[in-house]
Amino acid sequence: MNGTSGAASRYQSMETTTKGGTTAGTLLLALSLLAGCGEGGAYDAAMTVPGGDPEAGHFLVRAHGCGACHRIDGVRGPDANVGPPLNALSSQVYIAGVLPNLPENMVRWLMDPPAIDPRTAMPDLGLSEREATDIAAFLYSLEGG
Amino acid sequence: MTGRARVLLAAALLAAGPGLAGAQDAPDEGRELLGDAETGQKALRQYACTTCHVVPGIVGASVHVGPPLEGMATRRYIAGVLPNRPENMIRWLMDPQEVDPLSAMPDLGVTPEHARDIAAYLYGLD
Amino acid sequence: MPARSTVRKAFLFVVGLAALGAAGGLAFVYSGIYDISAIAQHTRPVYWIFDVALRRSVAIRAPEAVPVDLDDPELLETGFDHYQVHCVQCHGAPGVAPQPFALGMTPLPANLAHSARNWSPEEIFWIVENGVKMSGMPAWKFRMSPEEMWAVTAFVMHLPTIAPVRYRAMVEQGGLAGPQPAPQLSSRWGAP
Repeated sequence: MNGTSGAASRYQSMETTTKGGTTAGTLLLALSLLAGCGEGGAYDAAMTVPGGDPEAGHFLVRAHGCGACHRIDGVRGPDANVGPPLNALSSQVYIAGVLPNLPENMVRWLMDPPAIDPRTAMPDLGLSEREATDIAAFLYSLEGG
Repeated sequence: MTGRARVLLAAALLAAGPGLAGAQDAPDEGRELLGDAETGQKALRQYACTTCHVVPGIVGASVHVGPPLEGMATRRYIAGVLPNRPENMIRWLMDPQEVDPLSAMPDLGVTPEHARDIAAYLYGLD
Repeated sequence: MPARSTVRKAFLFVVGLAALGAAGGLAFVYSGIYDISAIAQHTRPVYWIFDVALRRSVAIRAPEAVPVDLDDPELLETGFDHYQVHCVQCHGAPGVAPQPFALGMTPLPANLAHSARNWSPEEIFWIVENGVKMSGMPAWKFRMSPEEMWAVTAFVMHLPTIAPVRYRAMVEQGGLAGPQPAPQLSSRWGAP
C-alpha cells in the first residue's frame, strides 16, 4: 500500500482499529458479522469530525430544536417526522440526498442548507462553523439503523 | 414558556411552515390517487428501491444510501423538498431529478401505475 | 452389556435422523415448493445465510494489500472509463439509474457508493476479479488485466465522494479532467 492519503490511509486506520483491537473487540466484530450486519468498511474510521465535540453537539442539537423536525436518538421531542430520522446518518452515503456524506460536507450543510440545495425545506439556522462542527460530531456518533 | 421551548416551537414553525396547515391530513388528501400496496411492495424491489433505502417489510441488507423509509406515512416532506402528498409522492417517484436536479435518486423509469402502487405501500409505513 | 447397547441405539438414532433429514431435503428440492422467482423476495433466514456466506467467503480470500495508489488520478481516469463501459449498466452511479434489465435481478446489484463504504478495497478487487456465484456478478479476471481491475477498484472506492451533479459533469466531459483538480478521497471533491 503506497497511498499516503485518501482511501489507502483510511483503510490503514481501519486496519489498526480491527487488528489492534482487544479480544473483546474482535469477539464483538465476529458477533456483528454473524448477526449479518458486520460493517467493516474503509470509510467508517474516517467518519469523525476533526475538532468536533459530540457532547457539545448533543447540547446544541437540543438547544436549536433539531428534534422539532427530526427523530434523533437521545433527543427528546414531539416524535417529529418533518425530515428524515437522523439515527443512521453516519452510515448514509448522501446528506439530504445531494451531498456526499463526508465530515466537511456535513458541516457546510448544517451551516446553510439552502445554499447547497435551494429546494430544501431545511432552513438556515444560523449556526456558526464551531456549532456546526460539534453538531456534525454528535450526529456521526449516533449508531442507529 | 421556557427559552428552550420557544426555540423549539420557532424551529418547528420555521421548518414545517408551508406544510403545517394541511399537514395533519396530508396523506388523506388525494388518497384516491393511491394504488395497490401489495403490488407496491413487489414493485419496490423491482425498481431497486431497496438498493438504497431500508424499507420495513422488505428483506434486505441494512443499506443507507438515502434515508430510511419507515414513517413515510407521516413524514412532512419528500426528500426534504416536496410537501408529502400522494400527487407529489407519485411525481417524485417517477422522476426525482425533475423535482430536484441535485438529487442522487435517479429516474428509475417507474410507470404511473407502479408509482401509485409504491406510494400506497409507503403510506402504509407509520 | 447395557452401556454398549445404549451407545448403539443412540448411534442408530442419529443415523436414522440424518437419513430422514436428507430424504426430507431431497423431497423439498424435488417437490418444487421453493419459489425460485426473482420477484419473490428471500426469507430472512435465507438472506442472512447468503449475506454472511458472501462476507466471510470474500474476507478470507481477498488479497492482503493494495499494490497501487488508490488516489492516483491516472488510475482513476482508467477506472472511470471501465466503470462507464462495464459497471454502470447494473450498478448505476451517483444520480444514475441502472439499466432496466438490472432492476429485475435478485439479488439486486449493489449500489457501489454504499459498497465502497462497507468493504475494503482488497475485497472490492477480489469481487471484481472473481465475481459472485448465483448473484449475476461476473468474474472479470479473464477479461481485464490486474491493473485495470485495480483501476476499477480505485474508482469504486471514490464513488461515495462524488456528488451526483459532479458525476453528470464527468460523463458529459468524458472524464475527470475539468475545472476541478485531481481528486483525493480526503478532499472536497464532488461538492456541487
